[in-house]
Amino acid sequence: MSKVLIFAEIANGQIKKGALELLTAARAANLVTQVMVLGSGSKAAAAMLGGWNVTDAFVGDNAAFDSYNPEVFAETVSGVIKDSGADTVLASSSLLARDLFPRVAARLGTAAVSDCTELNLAGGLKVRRPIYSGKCTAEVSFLAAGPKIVLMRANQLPVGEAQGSVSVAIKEVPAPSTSNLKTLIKEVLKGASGKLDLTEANIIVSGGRGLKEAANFKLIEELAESCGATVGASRAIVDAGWVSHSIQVGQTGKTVAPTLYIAVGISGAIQHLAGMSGSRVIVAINKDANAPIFQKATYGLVGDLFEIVPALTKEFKALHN
Amino acid sequence: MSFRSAHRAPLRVSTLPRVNSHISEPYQYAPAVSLSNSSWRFVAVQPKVIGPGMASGRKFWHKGSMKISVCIKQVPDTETKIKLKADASGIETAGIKWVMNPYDEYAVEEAVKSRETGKATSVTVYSVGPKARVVETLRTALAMGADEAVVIDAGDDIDSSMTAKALAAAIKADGEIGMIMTGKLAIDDNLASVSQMLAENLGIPHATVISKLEQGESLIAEREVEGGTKEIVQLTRPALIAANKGLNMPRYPSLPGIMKAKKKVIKELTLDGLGVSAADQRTKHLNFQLPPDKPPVKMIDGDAATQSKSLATLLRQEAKVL
Repeated sequence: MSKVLIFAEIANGQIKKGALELLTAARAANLVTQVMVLGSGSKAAAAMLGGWNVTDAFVGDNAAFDSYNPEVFAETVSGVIKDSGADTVLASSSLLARDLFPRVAARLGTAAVSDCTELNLAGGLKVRRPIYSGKCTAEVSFLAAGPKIVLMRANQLPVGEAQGSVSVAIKEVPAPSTSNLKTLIKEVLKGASGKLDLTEANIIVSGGRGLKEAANFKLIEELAESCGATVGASRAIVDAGWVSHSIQVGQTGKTVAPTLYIAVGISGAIQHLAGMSGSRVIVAINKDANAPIFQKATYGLVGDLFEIVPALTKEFKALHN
Repeated sequence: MSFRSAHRAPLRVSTLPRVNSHISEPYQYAPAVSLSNSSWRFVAVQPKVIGPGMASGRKFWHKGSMKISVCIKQVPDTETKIKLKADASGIETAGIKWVMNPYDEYAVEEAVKSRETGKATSVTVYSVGPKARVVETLRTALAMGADEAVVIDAGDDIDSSMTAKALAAAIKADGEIGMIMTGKLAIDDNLASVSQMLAENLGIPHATVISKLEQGESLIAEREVEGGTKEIVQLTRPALIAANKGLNMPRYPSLPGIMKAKKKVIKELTLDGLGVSAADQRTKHLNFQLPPDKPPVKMIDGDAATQSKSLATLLRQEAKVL
């Protein structure tokens, strides 16, 4: 039977949703699951995973893992994968994991495949991922003998509740050596928002050129606030300097797949569609009924966004009260 | 709107930066990145200014090599229609418009700009893929100002492991490494893995998703991470930097650049010659599928208040996402 190791990231001492999705999938497939958790508070977080059939947890409860140093992580994570004897390694396709695992794979003589959107664990590993800007998907077969490393895009799998509880054997991961490092993290500048990253967000409200001017982006922020969403933007308004590149959705920005994506005043250039067409439900609000965004949308509203968005904000607030 | 026309500065041949233009003004150091942004707090290593008696023309140096190796990939233009092969083993490559991967343009630009400002001595571009086609993209890089180009002939279907192994061997064979520049990912397979694998194969540090770079004795890079957070990373040379949007504004090739690039000899290497074989392949994409047809969009009519009310109800009761 397949032996799975899940690389679980934590935020504020909690296992992140992307990892819980993978834990739920592994439990549903009845697999023996080990986890690896790094950073302050990881021991307590890992101990809670008995409800997901986790038998062993490799834990580096050490502040040295609180900021991501590729060199330190590659060394530690490669070591844990070897020790675990896992034939399959799963992680959420976060920015950290996408940076880390190709290096780990090269070290272990195996392969890491990022941004997968379909995962089948029962009866042999099967994964599928979008390529060519989401214009098609392909299955990936692993040809090397080493552990298969799969990075899953967030929000693709359901998250279950804890069920029962096995006791989790904690295995301490040694503190990394910090001498002779060629990589130093000099400073971490926290983003202004404490919000979820776009790639993990469950709901995204994005604004585009239809907003007419930078000051009107506050309409997007208010709508997002009313439904607990993260804000995104089209390239046009990023390039115009209205908002930061860190919230750009699409090619040369981020690829997102939330449960709900609301596109406001975005016509839907192919570069934008490439970054969001994997969203489950898409709402398009645009004054031009012929805008390409409507071809990808689940629900379409043709009209003046300056009237619709405030009205929608009011409706969403009413729903949540 | 194509990616190229949208993200570059307008084409004005007369104002394009000229190769070696720094030689005429050897005392001025123009930082490659603006330090005025308040988020860029780390003090950059200042390059040494060389006096008039020093003939090299380069404004500062460090102990190691000052060569930049840039790895680029040729990819289908985003606007190209994708057709699958009848046996679903891949895409039909006939009729596709091929371009330089957009992120790689930032890498080429940064390298050429570094040489122009005296922070590098030469720029060599490498690309792996079908030779007859890939040389066109290498010529684009030469026209942008790269000094030399190397093509590693390979099929379209080789994986990241083979690519990284071939690039490592080719770069190693060209002598001491100064810095390697790549794009943070290729928009065709969207894997974002060759950069890190290449750095691992060469035993050098890497930093990806870089939007600002200072090159001195060491490299200081600003890396965009989650939720708008940024990290300032310091790497000991030699090191690999994978570029993100925002690092610079890639130039259009100038007409003289295009003419010059046409005359340059592109060095040709083979996978065999670099010790890479089919046994190095670790993954394969197969069983290609077009995305399932979406049900047609449901248009919601009425005035703004009615539309909003209907949408909120549908999102809650039909789509069950609120």
